[in-house]
Amino acid sequence: MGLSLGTASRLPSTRLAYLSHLRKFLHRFLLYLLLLLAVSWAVLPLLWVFISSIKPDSETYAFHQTFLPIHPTLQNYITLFKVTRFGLWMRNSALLATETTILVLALSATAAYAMSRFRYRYFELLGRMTLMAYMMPPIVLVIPLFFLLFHMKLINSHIGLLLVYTGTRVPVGLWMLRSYFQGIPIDLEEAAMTDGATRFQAFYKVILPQAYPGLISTGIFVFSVTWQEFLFASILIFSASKQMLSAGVATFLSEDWIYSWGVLMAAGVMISLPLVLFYAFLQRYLIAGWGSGAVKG
Amino acid sequence: MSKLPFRSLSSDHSVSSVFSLAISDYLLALLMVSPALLLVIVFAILPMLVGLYASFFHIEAATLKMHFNGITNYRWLLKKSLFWQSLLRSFIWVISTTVIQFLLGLGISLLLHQELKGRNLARGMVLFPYLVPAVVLSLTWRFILDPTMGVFNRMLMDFGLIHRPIAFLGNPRSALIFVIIAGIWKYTPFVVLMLLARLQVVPVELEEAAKLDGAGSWQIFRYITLPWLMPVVVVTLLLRTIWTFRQFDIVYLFAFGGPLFGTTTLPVLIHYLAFDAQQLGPAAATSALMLLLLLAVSWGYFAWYAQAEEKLL
Repeated sequence: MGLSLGTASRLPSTRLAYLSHLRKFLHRFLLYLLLLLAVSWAVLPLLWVFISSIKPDSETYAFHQTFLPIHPTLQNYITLFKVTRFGLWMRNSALLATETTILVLALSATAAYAMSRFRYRYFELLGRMTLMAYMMPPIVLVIPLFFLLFHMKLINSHIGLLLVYTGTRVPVGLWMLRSYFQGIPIDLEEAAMTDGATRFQAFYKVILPQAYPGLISTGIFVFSVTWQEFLFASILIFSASKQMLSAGVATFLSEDWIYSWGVLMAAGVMISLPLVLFYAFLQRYLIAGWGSGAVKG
Repeated sequence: MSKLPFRSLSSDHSVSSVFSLAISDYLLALLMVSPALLLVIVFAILPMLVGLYASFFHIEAATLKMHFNGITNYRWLLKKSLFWQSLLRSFIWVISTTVIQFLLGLGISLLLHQELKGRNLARGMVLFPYLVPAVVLSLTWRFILDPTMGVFNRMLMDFGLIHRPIAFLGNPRSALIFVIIAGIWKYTPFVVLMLLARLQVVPVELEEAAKLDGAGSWQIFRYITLPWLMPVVVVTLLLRTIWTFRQFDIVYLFAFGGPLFGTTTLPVLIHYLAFDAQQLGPAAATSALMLLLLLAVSWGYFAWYAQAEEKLL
């Protein structure tokens, strides 16, 4: 690149070939170096969390720390589940995230179908309203929601939290699924209905199966954001035994409770694990969904 | 309710056989939409309106009694230097995080678009930080930056750059810098994801025609790739700006707004006012101002987006 044509043309052709070869090689080398840097920047902090979770505390706190554990151990995980309420929180989050996902999928699939197939004027308004709800910062909602649930006697209850999660996730579901339904040709339903199916049967038996990729990516998206949700849980739930995963683990941080970094790192690994597994096995669906829905940060 | 033209399904075959259950399209549509609609109204739209309404009231924290006090909350807020500092920190947080993650993301997506060995594996791995939940992000970076056993301090000492460990999260300024770094780390993959998808559909004919005309790689990037990316760039920047601005969990969990309010952005300020200072009215007023800012930003981006699309045509 730095070589101008003028000097190059005066060189013998073999040296010229050699130089251009060298230049290409350097160019490739630089690209691979950058690639390595980008991958390390993304992965090393996570790798460090995992490595520290299987190190005994004596090694983590040692003055001369090694990168890899000398005596790898699962002790941190055992402590995490035996001594803390982590297992309970994990169960709460798994349950609530599953329920939320099912509710959101059912509600938003039916509504998104109706919005993609019928053209009533007030559906436009509905579309705009869901977009607005989708953009709404949770921190703005949480104080009024606290009062609302308080008056409904649903504060500090999983049902209240489930309703809040569902109400705030439905707009995302609608947004992601509507584009899927719009892409499914209307002829499919016409054929089914000519064969005697009712409209709802046509939706249920013909259209929904067509929308599986969209349903899967929406479902996983809703599950992961609910699984890791912090703000609503930390405000709307206040008994430690009912707490959700992120809000529960955050109490470890706030009480100068950190008696073992190893245990905290084990918690980090356990929270991330389901998300990483989903990603590893369903990458195709997820990336298609993230791209088209352009969802969330 | 008037019905806009839509392709009727019942026109060319007998109505009785298809709609034997005698449910009209209109009723069905209504039935299908209303449960979702109800939940969205009660748990998202209504709270927002209540919040706006409450910003004009004095709210007693203990009894939750409300007394109308006009714009007193807003005046109180605009006189507090904590509000202005939080606003400034919000701007610093949003602008630096968004700009740097965009530039990094653009670079990485162009790199991952090259024909390199192991490209697919690298694509998969580069996206990992995006999956990390906020609480884990905070655990990770607190651990790395810890003054006694954190790997960052140890590395700096091994290289002889510092002589004793530094409590990076104990200083307001460096704490903010590291929250910004953590934010960049987590969300750069999102930019990569968006741009890479668009890069894969760049019209190859255009690039080749430009190459035949003797355009260099910079010129191709400047005059072909970049304009092609522009609409996605605007959307990506819009989404990142909005989501970084409203981001609560990462910033809060990193250092709980401290030290000395050093990481208190607007959302963290709302949390502080409402739940620590018991100032519910001013918290509601801050929320209202935040919504106003969000609206202004999105409006600006929409104008820019229309422009970028127009240029492409």
